[in-house]
Amino acid sequence: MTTSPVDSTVSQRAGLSEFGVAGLLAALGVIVLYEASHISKTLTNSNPLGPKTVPISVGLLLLVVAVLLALDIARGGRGDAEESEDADLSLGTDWRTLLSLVALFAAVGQLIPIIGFPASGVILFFGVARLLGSRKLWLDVLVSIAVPLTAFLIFTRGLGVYLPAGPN
Amino acid sequence: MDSLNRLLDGFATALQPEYLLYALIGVILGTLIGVLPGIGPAMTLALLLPVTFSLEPAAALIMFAGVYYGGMYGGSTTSILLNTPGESSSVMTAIEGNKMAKSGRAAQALATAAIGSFVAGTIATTLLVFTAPLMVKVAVSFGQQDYFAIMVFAFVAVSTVLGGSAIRGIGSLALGLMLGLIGIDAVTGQQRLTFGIPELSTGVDVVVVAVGLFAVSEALWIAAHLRKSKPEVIPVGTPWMSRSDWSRSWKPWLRGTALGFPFGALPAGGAEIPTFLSYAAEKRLSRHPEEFGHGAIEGVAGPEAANNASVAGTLVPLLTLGLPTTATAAIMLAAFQRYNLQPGPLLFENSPDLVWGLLASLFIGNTLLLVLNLPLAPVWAKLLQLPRAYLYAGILFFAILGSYSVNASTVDVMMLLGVGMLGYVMRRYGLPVVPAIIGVILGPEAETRLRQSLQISNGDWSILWSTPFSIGVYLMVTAVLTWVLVRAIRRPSRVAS
Repeated sequence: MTTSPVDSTVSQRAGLSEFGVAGLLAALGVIVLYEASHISKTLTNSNPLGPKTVPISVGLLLLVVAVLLALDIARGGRGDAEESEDADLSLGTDWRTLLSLVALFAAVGQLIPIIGFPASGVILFFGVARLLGSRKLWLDVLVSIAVPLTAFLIFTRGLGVYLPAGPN
Repeated sequence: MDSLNRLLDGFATALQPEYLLYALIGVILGTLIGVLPGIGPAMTLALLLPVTFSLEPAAALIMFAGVYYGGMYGGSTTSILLNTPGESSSVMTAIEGNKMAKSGRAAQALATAAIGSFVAGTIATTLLVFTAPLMVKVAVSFGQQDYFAIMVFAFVAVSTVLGGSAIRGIGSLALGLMLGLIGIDAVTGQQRLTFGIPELSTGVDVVVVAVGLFAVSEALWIAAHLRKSKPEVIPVGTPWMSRSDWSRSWKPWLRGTALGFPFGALPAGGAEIPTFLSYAAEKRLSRHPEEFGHGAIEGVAGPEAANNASVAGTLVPLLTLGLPTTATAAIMLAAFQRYNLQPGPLLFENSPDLVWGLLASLFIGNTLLLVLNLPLAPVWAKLLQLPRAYLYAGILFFAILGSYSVNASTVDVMMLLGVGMLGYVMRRYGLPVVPAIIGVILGPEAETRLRQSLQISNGDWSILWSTPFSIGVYLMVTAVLTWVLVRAIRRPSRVAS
């Protein structure tokens, strides 16, 4: 890590958001503990260890890890963002693309039972390709139709996997 | 000699034309997907798991073995030609391999990787064939408490030994254990962490978790940081090696195998450490140490052999104890469980045809890989130029296909997205993914073992350390934790300067 002024402000901000991870772990720990406390005691006493013990342990583990992680961050510990040849980490996060992708994914998930798998697949493929910056319209359309349809036929006809074809 | 006879029976199974065809399809599909940039062996396996859903167990596992080896080979091709190690175990290959490729020796780098993988895979699978039955003999006497102890060790080792930050590894493990809890409790039938959603009562499918953590989070991660410039792909002809390349390669292959197999077999497993050690060893032993960092062939030959040998090594605990120690092994275990097969000593007793057929098919897959991929390397290299927009569109499409086909349920697709977003956060903040996968798949197993132990002892907790083996394991756990603690007190995970 270099010491240029721009970099250090970026890493300070990243440092603050690291506490968010500790917060997430703590929140999940609380949810697990809350849910675990609502598991009812069983009538049968055949097993000394009921269904609650392990969830409570996992909830506590999450809380302990959250505290230790926060301590680590406070001491200057940082988690390294994952590097990849296709990723350029110097530019920061492209929130618009990311959120559009999440929304598209969720929408397609809901569409599968309604319009069938092949049509949903075409929408997903085309949408992702365009979101990731492909701008060859006709090629995009062609590929987005060809790949999901071929895959659908191979999986349903060739491999006997069930996927809904479309509205009846 | 018993092993040898059984192995021959295994070959009789695996060499049937139908199974041979499945092995071939597995190898081709595995290489095809594995060679795509950013897709490591674990993601290849997770994405291709649904392909085997409709096959009978033997055919599915044989095909899966082919996918496994194909994915490994594809990963090393990508590392060498594009400098994108899909997994931490390929990082060492990428260092020297990509330098070799850049200086015009791509063909030799691919050749030493492919032939080295073959040599290492064959030797290590032979070792597997002879050690697995010995391990089974030991494992037959294991009680529930011994299994529980060794799972605790696997949890601790996988989350603290690998990666730069132990606390982030344990955080990842805790997340995995949490996901593994979701569903109906096997002992009492109580709903746990299901939030009243009926689809959650069957639990989160391992396919959904694996595909979400590997494929979906990767696609989201890349989408948020997509590099605008096109990556540089090095063109390549048919791989070949000169006489001097051979003489510089064969010793690193053997040394890499010797390092890879035992490390793979340890429950702290994975190929990361042996590939690193192999690289360091070759650098010290080389007659051309000055070439290291500029494309030394030994630096590709050794780590690649270590990587492949450790794969066979991880199959020892997986097949004999049902203990996965890497992400790929965890997905293999998920494949077994789909067929209600529980790897362990009983599997060798109850389904010897299947086990030995699988072992034989490892040899076959390894050979097919070499025969196919030396001539096909230029074709695979073309795949590296696939436009990134189509690549990630395809990854997401197949991710949805895979997780939807598990239960034909929209809830699974939403879970997939949720796990993918969790994986995105983990990537962003340096939480390793492997401990989470191990936690999901091994957590419920460990809980079952724990509760059965306590049932046997009528609630007396001392049963957990009642055997010499379990005491030994807990001593090792204590040793690892002490080392981690000392390391953590000395310095935080990574001090930002």
